[in-house]
Amino acid sequence: MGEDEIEAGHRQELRRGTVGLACLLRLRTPDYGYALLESLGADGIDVDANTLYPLLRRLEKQGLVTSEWSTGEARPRKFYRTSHEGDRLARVLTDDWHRLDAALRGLIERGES
Amino acid sequence: MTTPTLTDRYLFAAARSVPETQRTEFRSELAERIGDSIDAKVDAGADREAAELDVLTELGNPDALAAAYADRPLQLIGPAHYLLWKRLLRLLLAIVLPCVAFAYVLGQLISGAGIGEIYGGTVVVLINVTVHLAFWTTAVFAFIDRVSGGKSVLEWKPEELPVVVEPPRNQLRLDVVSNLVLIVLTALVILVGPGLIPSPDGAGPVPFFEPATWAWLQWYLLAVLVAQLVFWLLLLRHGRWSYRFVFASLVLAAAAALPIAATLAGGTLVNPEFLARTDWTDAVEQLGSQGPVASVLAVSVVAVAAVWPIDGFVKARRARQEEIAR
Repeated sequence: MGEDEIEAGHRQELRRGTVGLACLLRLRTPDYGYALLESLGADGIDVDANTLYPLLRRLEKQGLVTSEWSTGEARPRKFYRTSHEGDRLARVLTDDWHRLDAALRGLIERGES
Repeated sequence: MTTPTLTDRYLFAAARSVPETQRTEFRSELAERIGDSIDAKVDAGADREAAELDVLTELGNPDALAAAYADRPLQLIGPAHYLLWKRLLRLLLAIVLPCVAFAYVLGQLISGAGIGEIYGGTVVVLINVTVHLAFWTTAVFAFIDRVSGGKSVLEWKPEELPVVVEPPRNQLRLDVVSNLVLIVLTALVILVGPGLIPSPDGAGPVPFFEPATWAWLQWYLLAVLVAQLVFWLLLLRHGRWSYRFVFASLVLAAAAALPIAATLAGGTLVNPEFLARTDWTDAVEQLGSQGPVASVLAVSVVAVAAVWPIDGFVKARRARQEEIAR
C-alpha cells in the first residue's frame, strides 16, 4: 500500500461520519439526490454518489428523513426532508462535532507551543 | 415496442435482486439517479450515448449496487462467524477424515479388495467426505450469519482465554517413572499374558502365539525392554532430552516393532491352530502370511513405532531452544 493510498484511506475515514450530519442539516430544506450531491460539493463537503444514494436510503429507513415523489418535472424525483427525529439527531451530532473540534484544537495548540 | 436502452437493461438487472415489495421504489430511485447523472454530463458537453455508457460504467455491477442500496451483506460468512467456522471445520476434518480413512481401508481389506482398488477408493471417499463436511458446515454458518444479522451468536468472555501452560519442573522425572512402570507392566504381559488367553472353543488349551516364534520373540522383546529401562535411566541422569536420545528412542521403538510387524505379515506370529478353532471362519486366511488383516496390523505397529519418538523430539527441540535463548 502506497503512502498516497494510506493518506486517502485516513481522509476518507475522517470524512465518513460527517456526511450523514451534513445531509441531515442540508435537508432541512427538501431536495432530491443529484441536487443534494451538487450542493454539498459546492458547500465543500465532497461526497461520492455511491456513498450518498445508499446513505439517503438508510436515513429514510431509520426515519431520520422523509421523502415525497415530485412528478412535476422532466422525470419523477424523490425529494427528501429531515424529519423531527432527524433534526433532533442533527443537534446531538452538531454538539459532538463542536466538542471534537474543541478537543482537537487543544491538541493542535499544545503541539505548537 | 422500442428496443430497451442500456439504462433499461441496467434497471432490470439491478431491480431483479431487490425484494418485490421494494422493487418499484428502488427502480424509480435508480432511474432518477441515472437520468440526472446523464443530464449533468450532457450539460457539460458530452454526447448522450457516451454519457450513458460512462454513467453505467461508474455505477458498476448492478447486483453489487442493489446490495449496497439494500444494505445486504456481500459475503457468505461475515467476520462475526468466520473464525468459529474455520475452527470448527478444521476440527471436524481433523477428526472425521482419519476415522473414515481407517474404517474404509479396514472394511475393504476384510472384504478382500486389491491394493490399487483400496487406494483409489480411499481417495474418492476422502474427497467426498471433505466436500460434504465443508459444504454443510458452510451452509449452516451462512444461514446463521444471515439470521443473526451479522452479530456473533456467541459472546466472547475473558474466561475463554487459554491457560498458560508451563511444563512442571519435574516433567522428566514424571516421564521416567511412568515409562518405567509401563516397561514393567509390558514385561509382565509378555511373560504371563499369552498363558492367560483362554482356548477359543473350550476344548483343551492351545497357545495363542506360534510356539516356534514365541520361543525366541518373547526373550527378544524382554531384552528390548531392558534396553528401554537403561535408556530411561540414562536420560534421567543426563537431565534433559537431546537429539541423541531421540535417535536412541527411535532405534529402540524400531527394534521392538519390526520383528512383531515382520512375523505378523509373514503369518508366523499367531498360531494357525488357535485361529482355526475360533468362530471367525476365514481367520487363518486373513491373519496368515500376506493376509490383509495381518498386513494392516503390521503397518499399524510400524506406524505406532514411528510416532513414538515424537514426544521426545518435541521436548528435545524445546530444550535446545531454551539453551539457545539462554
